[in-house]
Amino acid sequence: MNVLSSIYVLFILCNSNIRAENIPLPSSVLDIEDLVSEFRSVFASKLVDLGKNYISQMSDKHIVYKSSENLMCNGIQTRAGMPVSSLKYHFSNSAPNELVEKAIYTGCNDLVSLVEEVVTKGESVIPLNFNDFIRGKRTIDLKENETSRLYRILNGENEEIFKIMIEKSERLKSANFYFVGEKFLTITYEYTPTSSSAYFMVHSYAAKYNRKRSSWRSINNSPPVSFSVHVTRDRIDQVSYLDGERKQLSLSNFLNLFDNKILGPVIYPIRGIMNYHNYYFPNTETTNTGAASQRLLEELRINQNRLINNIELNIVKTYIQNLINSVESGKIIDNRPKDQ
Amino acid sequence: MIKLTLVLYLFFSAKIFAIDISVLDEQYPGFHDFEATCFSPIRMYLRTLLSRSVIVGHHTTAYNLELKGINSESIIDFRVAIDRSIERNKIVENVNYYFGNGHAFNYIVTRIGDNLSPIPDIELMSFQFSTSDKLKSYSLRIPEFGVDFHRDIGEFLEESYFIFSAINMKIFINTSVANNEVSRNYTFSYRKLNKSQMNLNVLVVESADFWPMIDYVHFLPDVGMIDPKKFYELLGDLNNIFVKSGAEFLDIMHNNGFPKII
Repeated sequence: MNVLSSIYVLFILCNSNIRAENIPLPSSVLDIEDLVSEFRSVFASKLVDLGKNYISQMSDKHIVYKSSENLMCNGIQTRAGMPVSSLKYHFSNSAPNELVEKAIYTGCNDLVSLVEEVVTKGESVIPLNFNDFIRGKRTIDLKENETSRLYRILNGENEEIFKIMIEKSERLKSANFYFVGEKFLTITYEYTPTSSSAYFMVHSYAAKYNRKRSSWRSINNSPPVSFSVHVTRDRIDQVSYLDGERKQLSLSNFLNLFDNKILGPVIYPIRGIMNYHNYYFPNTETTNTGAASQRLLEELRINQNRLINNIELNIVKTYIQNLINSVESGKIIDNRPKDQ
Repeated sequence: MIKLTLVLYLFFSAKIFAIDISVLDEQYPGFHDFEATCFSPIRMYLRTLLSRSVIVGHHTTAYNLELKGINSESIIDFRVAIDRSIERNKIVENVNYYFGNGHAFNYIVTRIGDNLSPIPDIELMSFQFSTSDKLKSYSLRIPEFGVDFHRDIGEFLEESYFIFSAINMKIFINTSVANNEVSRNYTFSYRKLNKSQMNLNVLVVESADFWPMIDYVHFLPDVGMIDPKKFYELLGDLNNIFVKSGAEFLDIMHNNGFPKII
């Protein structure tokens, strides 16, 4: 009987995701994962390219990339066989149900480009797997079994560039976003069996980040601004966008507000900082091996053909909307240079 | 009971780190990727052909169609016939396009596996057949072009080849899994290649640590270990062969009576 009951408990644990899920918010509204991915993807794609361009050598959670030829690395001549970059990962369980992770990303001449520190609380929290680590993949939002996460990005001098603190209770989840120590955004999610809401509060802040020959500044002197999105379950889900005075907004108004208050003033400057820190790493080239983008390429060709022949235009319309959703949710990452 | 719970927990969590063929999926192209590259133009062409045609006659799995010219001044008649042979674990689907000018085009899709169902006619006619991993074997032959693409999928071994006689293209991709290693070998020859044959190998080794690390080692058999940059460049060359062969397919189809519609 004991054996049966323990198997039953495990069965329930393994199938816990079967239970009713929250009503999803519209995909055009960026969530925590999307917002962080807006700038973190810049850095993640550099990590992928390092693995494709340099020989790796591994030992105890430490990966060293070496070049097979002499190269100029961050302005300094580096001989073949010398390290050009390294990734270090460390994790520990500092307390029961708490996982502490630290990743150190080092570029040319042993200069630390970025450091990530993560403290996650919850049941059975597990470290990143190796393949996700070397490709810069990481889930920022809380998973089902997690109750809180503190995620920080720091530079080599231990200065904090970005921080997010996410906490959840039964029906609420809140995320506070910080840029160089200044809180700029709070998102609060509220879930009921028949509705989901996200409340965005943009705070006043004055953030400055200075590096050699570069600086970033983002200041918002205005009083805090809030807006929200609500979905109510019905035969067709009812979506409404509201401003701080609970006046209805169109989707377009809502997205403009989001762009003007969050993406433009803070998230894009952080992306610029990530780009700056990518210069700590050696140059990398991208080769099209046909493995990654083939499906996308084929779909684009088919839809281009539909447009050329003026056929199935409704399918093209739906397809473009799906692409927009995929970009917004970080499933398609744009690695093109800015001027293209 | 605690011990049992722990053992079962370890059993389930061990899956997180178990190495399998999918470790190659993201960065090392396999059969499905190359097939998609190669057939992209032909799929696009046939989709357009069928979407711009009207069915004027239909008898079980044979269709008479009419393609109207862009300005509707010309009409091309053609016929598509599908023959199916369905056995317990094997389905062979043979598609024939016949044009009024006497030209024909034929391809045969053979699939072996459990719980197979026929490919819907419209998908089969427009070259939209998936090479799902549930299959044990899949092959596509286009006799007139000398095309034979084949894939066998086993639990620990996956073997595939692409032969396109018209351009002397022969490509073999073998992937094997053993203990904590996955190995994939690409062997290819092509009429425009400088060497008679090229060999590429990637070996993926998972360490037996508490936090398993995965090492990707790249080889060029006659050279030895090479850096990933060189490996990916050569893999890019291999991909280009498929891009070019896709374009050649379309040329051959036009020479075989298919109207130019794109």
